[in-house]
Amino acid sequence: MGERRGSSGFIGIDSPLGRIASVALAPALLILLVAPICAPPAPPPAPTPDNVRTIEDLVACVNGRLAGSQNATIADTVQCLPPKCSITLTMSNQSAQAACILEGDGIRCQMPRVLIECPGPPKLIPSYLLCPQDSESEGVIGRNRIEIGQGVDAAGNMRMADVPIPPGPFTPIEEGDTISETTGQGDSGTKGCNGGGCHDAQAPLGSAPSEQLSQPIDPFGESPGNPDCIISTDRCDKSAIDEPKQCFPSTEDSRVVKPQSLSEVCDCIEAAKNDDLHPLAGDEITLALCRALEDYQDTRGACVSGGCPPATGPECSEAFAPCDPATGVTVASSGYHCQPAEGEAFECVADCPCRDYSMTGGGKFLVDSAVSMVRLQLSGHAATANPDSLRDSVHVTGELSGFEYASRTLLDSIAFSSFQATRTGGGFTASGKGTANVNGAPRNIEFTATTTGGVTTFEVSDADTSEVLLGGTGEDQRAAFDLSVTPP
Amino acid sequence: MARCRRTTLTLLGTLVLLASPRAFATPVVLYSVDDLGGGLFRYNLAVDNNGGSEALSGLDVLNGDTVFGLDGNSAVGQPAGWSHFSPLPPLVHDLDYFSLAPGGDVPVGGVRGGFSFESTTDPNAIAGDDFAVEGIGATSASQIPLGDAELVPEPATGLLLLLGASGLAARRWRGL
Repeated sequence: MGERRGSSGFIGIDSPLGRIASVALAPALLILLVAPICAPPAPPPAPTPDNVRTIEDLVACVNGRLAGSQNATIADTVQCLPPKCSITLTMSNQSAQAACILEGDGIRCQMPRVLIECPGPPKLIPSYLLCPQDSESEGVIGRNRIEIGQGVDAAGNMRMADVPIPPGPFTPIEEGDTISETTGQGDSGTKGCNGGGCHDAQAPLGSAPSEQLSQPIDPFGESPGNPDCIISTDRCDKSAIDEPKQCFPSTEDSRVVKPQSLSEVCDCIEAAKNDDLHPLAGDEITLALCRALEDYQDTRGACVSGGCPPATGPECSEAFAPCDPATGVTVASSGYHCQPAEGEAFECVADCPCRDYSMTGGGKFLVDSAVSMVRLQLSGHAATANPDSLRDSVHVTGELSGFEYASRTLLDSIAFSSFQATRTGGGFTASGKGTANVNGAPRNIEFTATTTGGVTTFEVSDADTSEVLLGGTGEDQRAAFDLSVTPP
Repeated sequence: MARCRRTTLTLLGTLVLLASPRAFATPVVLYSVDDLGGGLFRYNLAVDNNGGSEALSGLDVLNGDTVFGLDGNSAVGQPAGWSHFSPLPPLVHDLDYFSLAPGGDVPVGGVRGGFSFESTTDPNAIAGDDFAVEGIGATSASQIPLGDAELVPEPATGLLLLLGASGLAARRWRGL
């Protein structure tokens, strides 16, 4: 018997071959039809830096941005930091990311740990290390790792992660490999975050029993922190050292550190990188990391134009509790708190809101009857919870000119490095530092200005020698300064 | 052509300004004004230190902002070896000139011109102490009051006066 064929001429379904085909094809068709529903969902798109909130977000952003890179370095991860984070530089060597000082050929560079505190919510605290030596963990030096803490409660307790980014072809980071988990033996965690002079352990949350938590360390506090090691910060509620200090000296030697901005640290690294006799000679990665962090601070950090946490926020109800600046709702951890506003209202505002400031003025100043003329115009923005007290070592720019007739001292072309001001009653006190041309030669200078009770004083001195260069008491009606802070 | 004439007049004005005899020998600031057109005027200043007790290393126009509307964008000129700070409205009103080295100072008995500024203030509107000025002593570094700047006849007026006086003298000479 020949095969029965259907009218179409194809193999009939009733034929043995057709039955075999139908039995085999039916499940395949079913799979094809149902597959779009039952297949594992496509991975969500990597969060943009502006949307990074958690350890997982940061890791996903890095995975997305560095995918396929054959020459990835730790510097490439800085682009994934969320905005509005403060930067603190500590020279502490008592850490899993130990800062160091590298000297050679007359160049002494401070290579600090860079603490980045993001207001969240939740509060996220990534940290980098600029020292390219030691602090090795799992075979990767500290310079090539990001240590990340993520707040889980109002007390600041954190879940923690350690993210290695060795230079070279990028290997996607597995989230599970980075989070510090309980070991079942002690409570140091799989990343060794706790104990040994580092974090104290905190019991895991019931909702995540496998994650080993750590208590926060205040780098500005005493042991294991050390305020004498903080060489720079743009946190509004803390201050760095303003003169050289001993930072964890050894018993037989001193370890002096000096105040230095991130920009100045990078400048030192760049000079050393180009010096064949320096330990940093040719170190492109450390310089790239430093410059990336500097760029972050200047363009997306704690207090930049257009990116600052505002000094106002949505209504909130739980006084002084951490809150979400988008809604005012109370959250577990945040750099925003429910604070008293006008009347009986409460607003969810940043712990360090950003304010614009400017100071202008000058005029004729006298010492006895000897005359100095001054013109000052500077401005910037600073994170400060109190508009009557601000400090800025990052964003201050402006001009200062002065002439002292007795010695014919001409001061101009200043580059400011810091400014601070305090308003009291109807007056204020302000001071600043920078580098200026004094009779054509660059000198480090500092100025102080006061206006109180209708009396104005102003003085510029050499920051290195304390020599007074110009200034005095303002002549009545001929000298004045104005300090403006917005919002007031 | 007009520019040539204006330059000539300015030079003549400066000559008149520098050569102006004064009855009382005390330091003073003399000025003339060029009408630049469009409501803009250039004020030309000269410091005459006849009768002064010390050389002058500074010159301050006290109402640079409030009377003359000067600020950091204003056109300001000074003689070689001098510099200036413009007013900083609304807080600092002075226009301050200063001599960078002793060689540029206005010596006792000497006159130094070349100070200037451009302003929209009509010179005819200046009254009272509007044009108050002061000097700074090169030795004491202290202020030396100079009162108000004194207007000298503009070059064309000076020439007319000179021609008129010459004509009168000629007629008188012929009549003799």
